[in-house]
Amino acid sequence: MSGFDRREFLKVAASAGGGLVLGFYLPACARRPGVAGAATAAAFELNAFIEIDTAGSVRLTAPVPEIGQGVKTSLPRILAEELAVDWERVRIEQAEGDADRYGWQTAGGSLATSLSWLPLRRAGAAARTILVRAAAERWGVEVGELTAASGRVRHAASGRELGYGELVAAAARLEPPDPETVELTPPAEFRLLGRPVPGVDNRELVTGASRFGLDQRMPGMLTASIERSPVFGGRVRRFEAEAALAVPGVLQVLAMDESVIAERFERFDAGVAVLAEHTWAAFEGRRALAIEWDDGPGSGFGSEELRRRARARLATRGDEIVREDGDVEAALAGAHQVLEAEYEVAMLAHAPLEPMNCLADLRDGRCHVVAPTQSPDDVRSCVARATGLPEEAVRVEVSRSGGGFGRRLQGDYSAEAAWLSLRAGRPVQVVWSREDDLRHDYYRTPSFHRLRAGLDADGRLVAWRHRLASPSRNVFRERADEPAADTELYPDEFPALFVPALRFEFSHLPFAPRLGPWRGIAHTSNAFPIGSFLDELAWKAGRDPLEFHRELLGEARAIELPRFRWDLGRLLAVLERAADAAGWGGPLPAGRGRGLAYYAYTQARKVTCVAHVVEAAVDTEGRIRVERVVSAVDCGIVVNPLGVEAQMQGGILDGLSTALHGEITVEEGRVVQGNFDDYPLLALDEAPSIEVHILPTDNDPAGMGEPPIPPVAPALGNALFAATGRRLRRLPFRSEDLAT
Amino acid sequence: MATYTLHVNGERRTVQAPAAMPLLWVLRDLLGLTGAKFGCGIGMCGACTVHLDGQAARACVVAVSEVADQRVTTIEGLSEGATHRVQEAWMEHDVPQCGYCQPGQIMSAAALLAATPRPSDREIRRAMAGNLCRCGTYPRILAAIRRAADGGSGKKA
Repeated sequence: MSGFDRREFLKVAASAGGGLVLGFYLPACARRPGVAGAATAAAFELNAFIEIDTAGSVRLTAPVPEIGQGVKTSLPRILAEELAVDWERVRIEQAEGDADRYGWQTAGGSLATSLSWLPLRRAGAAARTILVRAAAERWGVEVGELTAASGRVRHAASGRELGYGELVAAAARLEPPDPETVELTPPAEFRLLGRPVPGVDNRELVTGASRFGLDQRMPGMLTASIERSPVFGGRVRRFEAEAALAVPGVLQVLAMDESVIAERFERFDAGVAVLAEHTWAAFEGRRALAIEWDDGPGSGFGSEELRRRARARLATRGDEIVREDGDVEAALAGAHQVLEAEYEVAMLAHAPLEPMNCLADLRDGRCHVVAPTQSPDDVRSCVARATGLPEEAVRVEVSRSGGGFGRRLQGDYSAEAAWLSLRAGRPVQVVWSREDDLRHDYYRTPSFHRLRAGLDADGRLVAWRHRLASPSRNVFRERADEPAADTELYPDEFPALFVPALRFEFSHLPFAPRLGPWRGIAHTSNAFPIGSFLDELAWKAGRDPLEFHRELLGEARAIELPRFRWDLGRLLAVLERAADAAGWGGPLPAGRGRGLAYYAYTQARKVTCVAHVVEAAVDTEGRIRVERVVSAVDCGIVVNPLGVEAQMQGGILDGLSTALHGEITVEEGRVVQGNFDDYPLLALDEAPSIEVHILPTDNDPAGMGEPPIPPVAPALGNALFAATGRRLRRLPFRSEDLAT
Repeated sequence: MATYTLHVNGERRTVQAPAAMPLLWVLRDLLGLTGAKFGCGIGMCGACTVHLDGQAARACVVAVSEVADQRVTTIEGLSEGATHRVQEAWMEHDVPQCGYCQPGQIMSAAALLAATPRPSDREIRRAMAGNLCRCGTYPRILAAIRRAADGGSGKKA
């Protein structure tokens, strides 16, 4: 796809203070559908991604929201490397949401680093190039005689030097270089990238000075707390507001009985909003509401019913064939041994520690929003849809988020804030309680799997059939009942390309709750049954799992996918490193076991390879203690090793938390769980020691937000089997299933 | 509604609030101190942790009427310019990810070290078990606490 809107565009102009302002696009994240591809002067207006003032101070704009994944530090770092400035002189600012200026700014899909890598390097290099040219012109020398480092240009032959600040005015008058041919620093010469750098906001975070979404304030603002229908799809039949209005500080009670459908099915649930002078008053006012609900058709349905339907559906062939290689039925019929098992993966809530919230000020036909969001573009779209404003009238500032995990890709809470601000005539901050967050999520769908595989006489895998019955992530569908295999079972899912006879089948199960992307999406869900069942096959064949997987994966070679190819050797290397570092095969005391799993996580023509070896102990009551996790990762060139290690530790702990504790259940159309007493998160005293090995390569950087998660649950399940001889096929793991 | 005079970060602050209003909301919404965070409202996540007379307390379940003369310290009052050894250790070990839980973590850790200058790993785990971190920074929290403790080795977990 060619076209002006896809090329990076660099433009240089003098900024107001006589400095240099450089703008460029982050790519790949193509323009939003519907936005004209043709450039206009406004669309490519300069934007201050890099600003250098006459004193040589550098301001860099961090384009992607910071949700704990470290991009506010790592992305500007790439810029600083090519720009050849000292990190200590750099000041970072978070970009506002502005798709026309910054392109796609979504913190999701583990895409930010890999998509920004080249454009940021080019932008930094282009700025450096014209600064050097300005010096060359000033001194009347050739560009090739000059070097740039630490924000200064030097002419070694004469010993002359100028700081960038002294060159910006002249540089701003020069024609910028073509970004596609600008000379980039060879990775072997990196001074910043690959070295550990702590988070740019650490000081503000440890003093409480950082302002998350919930900490934002505007003069005259009201706080809103919304009582939403406890049953999915329910509506308000009748309500009484007198008691609520009598609570000191409560100013207004509004029925939110409209379901606003944004372009991606991001409706907010019907309910009643209490607006008050501060949060506690809003919460108290809401407790004083008397509401009669019309539950609607959603009230009859629950998790048990879904399970019954799923298991019945799994008895016969799926509705959609997602992939078919060879003749799997013939291969199964001819196999020496056949194994079959059913697996179940739980429904999950995201539960970021900062509950949903948003502050919106709508007045005079414009709306100013401050949102903790993973997708400022979706906030703009939701606010416009909820209020009837044109998108150009919506300004989205992005605060730090107290976690995202996929929940903050949806803009429903911003639609609520804007809708209420329109009616209140004042800024409104919507604050969700933890119960609201757990009961009105866009959940990770539960899924039900039936796996059937055949081994030959040597214990090699010769046939594989993965049958999946599940709801599908309906948040991106036009209609709730539109089924889609493509979000739940990928055609390239493992072990495709490693088994000659293979079939993937999918059957959609309707389900009322809103469903959305949860960290690692279907990679995370499916890796558990796949990684566990492969382990079952190894044990059934009497083979050591590591040896079984080595044989299954085979020799290092190129793996050909529809849009790119990747080197299997990278996956083999992380597997070997994790196993070796964990002491695979060494003795363990009774009641302890080791399990291994790995995953090649593909995104945007890149792959991140991860392997975990989990060591767990089980006591006679079936209580699980995860003792140790030894892991290896190859994510390509490492921008910040501290960031990679943090994502590995955090991803492992997220995988363990959900494997041990995570389950949302629905009864009579309502979510049962409400807070951390019945939806627990892993606590510090449950955390194992974690050892991370980062394998260096010179592949371009790939993502780290999600890749560590998929292999965690299967590695733990495999460890539990090794420890006890009991195979657990349902997440979360339960002590009662392991008690002796 | 009643009038309460509180001692917060070394200053006398007077508020009008209902007796049952949790200290957390008094701090955040009436006194403008947003360092203590809201995560659950039932004292189970620790994001709201402050000190009452130096002891860690979950501000979301302490009613303003219960505070009386106790000295309240929030993250903002822990030190001048991030100079508390726990804050320094936190920065040295690059602890935060999203950062939302960290004020509460730091306040719990500071209270622990004030009472037990050289805690064992077991004491650390027990004291910190009520501070949840959704991002999973526990390994670095442990390392930073060991670092901040007298004679801590500073080894990463």
